[in-house]
Amino acid sequence: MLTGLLGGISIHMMRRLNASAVRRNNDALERGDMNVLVRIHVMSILRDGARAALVTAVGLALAAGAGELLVGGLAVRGAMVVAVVVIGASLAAGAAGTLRLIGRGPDLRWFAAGLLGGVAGAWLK
Amino acid sequence: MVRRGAARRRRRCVAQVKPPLARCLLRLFTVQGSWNYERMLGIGFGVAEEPLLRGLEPQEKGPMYRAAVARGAHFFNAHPYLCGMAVGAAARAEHDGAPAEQIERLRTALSGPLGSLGDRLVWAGWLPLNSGLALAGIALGLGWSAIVGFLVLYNIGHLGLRWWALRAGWNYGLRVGEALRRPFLRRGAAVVAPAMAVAIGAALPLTTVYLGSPFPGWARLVLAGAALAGVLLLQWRRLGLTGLRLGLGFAGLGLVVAVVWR
Repeated sequence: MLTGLLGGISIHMMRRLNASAVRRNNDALERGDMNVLVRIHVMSILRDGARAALVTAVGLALAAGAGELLVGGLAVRGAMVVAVVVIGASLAAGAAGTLRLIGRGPDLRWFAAGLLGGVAGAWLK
Repeated sequence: MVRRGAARRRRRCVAQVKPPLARCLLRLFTVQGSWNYERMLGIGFGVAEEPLLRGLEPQEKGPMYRAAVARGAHFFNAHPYLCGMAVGAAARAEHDGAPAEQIERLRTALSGPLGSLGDRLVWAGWLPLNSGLALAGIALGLGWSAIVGFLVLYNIGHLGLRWWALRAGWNYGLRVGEALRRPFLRRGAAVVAPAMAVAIGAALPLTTVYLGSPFPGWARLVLAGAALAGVLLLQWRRLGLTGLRLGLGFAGLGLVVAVVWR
C-alpha cells in the first residue's frame, strides 16, 4: 500500500517533468520538428521506466523490512489479525468501488443477482 | 472550382493509398508514454499519427507534413484504446485537404466522446467484467487457467477495439461521428455493464470465502467484520476515504492490536 502511495506521487512528479520538457521545446514542436517530438516521447518513456524500477525497488525493500520486523515481532494470532483486517479492507474497497460504478440504476439488480449466485456457489463448494 | 477538383483528386489518391495502419497501431501502444499536464496525450498522438502523414506531399518532410505533425502534437486527451480513432480521422482529414481549423475542431470534438465511451466500455465494463470472472475462477479452484483466461479474453477485446477504432477513424475521416453511432458500440455498452455487475457480484462472496478459508473461525469473523465496516466507511462520503487510505488505516490498527495482544 505504501508502494502504491509512492507510485501515485512519483507519477505526478514525472508528469510535471514531462510538462517541463514540452514547454522547453514548444517552439520546435510548433515548427513540426519530428526529431524533437520523438525525443520528448522516448525520454518520457525512459523516465517512466526508471520511475517504475525505483518504486519497485522501494516496494521490495519495504516488503523485506516488514517481513524481518513482523516475523519475529508478532505472535501467530497477531499476524492473523493484521492479515484478515487488510484482506477485509481490500474486499471492502472492491465492493465499494463496484457499488460506486453501478450506482442506483438497473445494474444494481444484476449485482444483487451476482451476489446471490456467488453466495450459492460458495455454499455448494 | 480548381480547389474542389484538387481536393477530389487527392481523395481519389487517398482511397488508392494503403496507409501504414499497423505501424500506427504499434506506436499507439505508447500513446500514454509521454502524458503530461501541458498537452496530455498530445505528444503520443503526434508520434502515433506521423506514419500516416508521410506521403502527404511529394516533397519528403515538406511544409504540409511539418504543419500536420505540429497539429498532431497539440493538446488532446481521450481513452487510450479509442485514441486511434482520432489519430486515423485527423490523418485522413489532413490527406483530404481539410482546413487546419477544421482538423483542430475535430480533435477537440472527439476528446469528450472517446473519453466517456472508453470509460464506460472498458474501465467500467470490460476490465472489471474480466477481473470478476478471473477472481471467481480462482476462488472456484481453476488456478492458473483463470489467470491465462483473463489475459487472453481481456486482450482479445482490448486489441480488437484498438484496431477497429484506428481503421474506423481512417475510413471515416471527418465523418467519424458516424462510426461512433454504430449500433454495436451502444449494444456493447448496454451488455457489458450488467455483465460486469453480475461478475463482480459473484466474485465478492466467492473470493471472501476463498481468502478466509486458511484462517480459523474467529479470524474469519474479524475478516467479515472488517469488510463490512470498510464498505460502510467508504460509503460515508464525508470521510473522504479512499480504498488505499482505508487499507493503510486498517493495517495500522491491526498492527496495534497485534502488538498489544501478544
